[in-house]
Amino acid sequence: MNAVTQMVLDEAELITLRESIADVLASECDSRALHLWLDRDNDLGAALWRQAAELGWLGLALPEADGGLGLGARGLQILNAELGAVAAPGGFIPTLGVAQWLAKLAPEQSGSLLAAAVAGEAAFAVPAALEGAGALVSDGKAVSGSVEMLGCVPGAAKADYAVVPTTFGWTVVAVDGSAARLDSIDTWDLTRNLSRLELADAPVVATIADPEGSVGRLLGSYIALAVAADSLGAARAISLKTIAYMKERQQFDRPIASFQALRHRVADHMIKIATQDSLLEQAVRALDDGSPDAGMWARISKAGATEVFVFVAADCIQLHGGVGHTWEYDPHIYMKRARLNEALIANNRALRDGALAALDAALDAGRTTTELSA
Amino acid sequence: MILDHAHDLKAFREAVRTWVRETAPPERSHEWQRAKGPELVAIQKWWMDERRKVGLATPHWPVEYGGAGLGLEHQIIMEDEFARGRSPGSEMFVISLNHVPATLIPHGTEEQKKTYLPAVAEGALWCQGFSEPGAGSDLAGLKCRAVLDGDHYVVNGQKIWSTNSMYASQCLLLVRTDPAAKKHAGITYLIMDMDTPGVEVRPIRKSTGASNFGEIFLTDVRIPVANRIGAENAGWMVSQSTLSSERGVLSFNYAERDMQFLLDWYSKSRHDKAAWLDDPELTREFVTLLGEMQSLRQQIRALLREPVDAPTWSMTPALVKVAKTTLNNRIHAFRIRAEGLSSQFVNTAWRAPMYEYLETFGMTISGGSNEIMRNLIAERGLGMPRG
Repeated sequence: MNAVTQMVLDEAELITLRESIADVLASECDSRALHLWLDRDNDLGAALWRQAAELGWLGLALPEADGGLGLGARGLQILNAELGAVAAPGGFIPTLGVAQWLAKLAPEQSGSLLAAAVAGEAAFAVPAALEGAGALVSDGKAVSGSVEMLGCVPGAAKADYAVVPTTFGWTVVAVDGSAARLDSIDTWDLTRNLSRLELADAPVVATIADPEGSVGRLLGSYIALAVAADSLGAARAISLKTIAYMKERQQFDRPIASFQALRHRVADHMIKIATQDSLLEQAVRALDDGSPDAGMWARISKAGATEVFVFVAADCIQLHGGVGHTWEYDPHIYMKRARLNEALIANNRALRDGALAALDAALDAGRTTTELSA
Repeated sequence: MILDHAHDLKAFREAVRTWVRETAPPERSHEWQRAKGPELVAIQKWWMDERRKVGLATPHWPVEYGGAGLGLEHQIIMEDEFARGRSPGSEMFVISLNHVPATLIPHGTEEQKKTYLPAVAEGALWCQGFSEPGAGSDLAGLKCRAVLDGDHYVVNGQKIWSTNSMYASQCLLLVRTDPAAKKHAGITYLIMDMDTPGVEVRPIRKSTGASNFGEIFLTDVRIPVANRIGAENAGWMVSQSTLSSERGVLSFNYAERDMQFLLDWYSKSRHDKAAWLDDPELTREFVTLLGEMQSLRQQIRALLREPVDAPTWSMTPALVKVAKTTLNNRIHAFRIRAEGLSSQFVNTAWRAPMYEYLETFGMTISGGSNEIMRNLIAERGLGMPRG
């Protein structure tokens, strides 16, 4: 039970915080800036990262002892939903997720790393297919191998660290450009950064042993929650942008927003998004309360939220008509982000299998249905 | 005794839990789970009477009308414990417990309130005479005619989809008193005793073969003017209070029971080593449905926390209505596919998948069809123009 995080800010203050984040992003990361970024005609990625550090966003979720605001999973949800809404470029999900995980599992060991992360000076990368990544070979002091990583905008932070599974558990290595190198991979989603991590006897910064797999699962839970929040913030935003467009766009001498067949489709967006919002709410609460079911809800939430995001983004392309298929309009940016989100951590089939295994384990342990559905 | 703990929510919950376990032990739950028709009515009346004895029939009502003035928190705890204790339901009393006070308290005369409200705890079963064969989604198009004759209205017409009308003692009735006025402006709201001469109820057989709603035929039915709620021709305004009465407490109870059921059903499937558990396509679908059911419970909790008198229109009730009804449909459709051929054998087991599945087609229509809900979401929630 993490009662402290519950008391840091009340509901009204959380709403104010959310609005303040949304305001900054609306002015700094509007559609025009985002399109310039797609063509790499501005430095939006690095600028947003600096701004996030200056405004304390990178520490929202972290405990106060680590220089954070102590909002826990709720903080991850709020920030990532707003970042998703504007399809913000950057490596927020892996850095925020890893920082939260380190603060939870190894607060003493990782104090200086966390301070650097809060200041925006350190960024973390995690395997993009976190739950499918095989353990890299390590002797405990150095690690070698290669894995595809989800990371930060190159050069945005002074130092990049990679977190990878090894034969010793979960290992942090410093990306130094030689023993540990991140080579960018071109991806369809231009708002994210995927790269191939090449490790050749890279020195180990820290390792957290994971004999039962629970350490890795917790990291997966934080990342899953962040991906779900990003997806739902983004899905709502592209749907609302599309609705605004439908009110403007005239055909047959009337706005296309007046056609019932189309109105019902966007109503369905809202219904699906609201359902997934509540499921994410369940995962957030479970994680903040230290519930044994937190991992299960987080995985179900990631699977559901990313699928709804894909559905909504695809429908928004169609609802835009021809311009929905152009580079100039926004739907494709969201669609690409949605497809990447869907593929992160593990495919949604595997996540659901994992969730069911967790449910079975809970039932076998004699937990009652009442406890499970609390 | 239980109400003595009202100031302490934890103790109140304990007291309700103990009372439920003693009064309706879960070992007997099959008795109320399998009952249908008149037997179900009898069980639910018994349960309401037991609730009354300990002050739990209408505890959320004002003290002067037979309640205990308890808040929403108490109501939630109560419904939560009823669901978890697998107690008998009270869905027969939906209209009595929700629509009647929501209508009478703001709009009724003092005499109407004193006459009808305390009687609900005594087991008075109300039905609603709103829809007509020609007035479904377009409710304001209703034609059932009432003509003033001295101190009575004489009513002729037909009502339909009136749930439990065959068992009801009173009816919340909408009639047309001014056929010349615009359709919303000529409607009057009446209380009708179901034993008045000229009232005939014919049960409607549903696709399940069972009947829990009926048509009401009204032939020269004389209803005292004293039974009018609100002014003549102001019935539409009054009816908005009736329709907005369901703030989700009942949905909350249903969702709690549905979640229990889904997990119990899954546990039983595992115990029986059901074949569907070996089909990953089906097990993954189950996880999706379980997640959405949990989400629905959270949505309803959020709905309950919304202020009833919020100044702006909330999309939440419409979102929840569509989400819960379509989810129920999908869950039972899933059970049919998981169970395979044997799901097609008629059996009287509690919550047999085909029976429940057929029932869900009523839910996506009643209480405002899901299409009307989508219109509301688009027009009032998203500001999209009407076509």
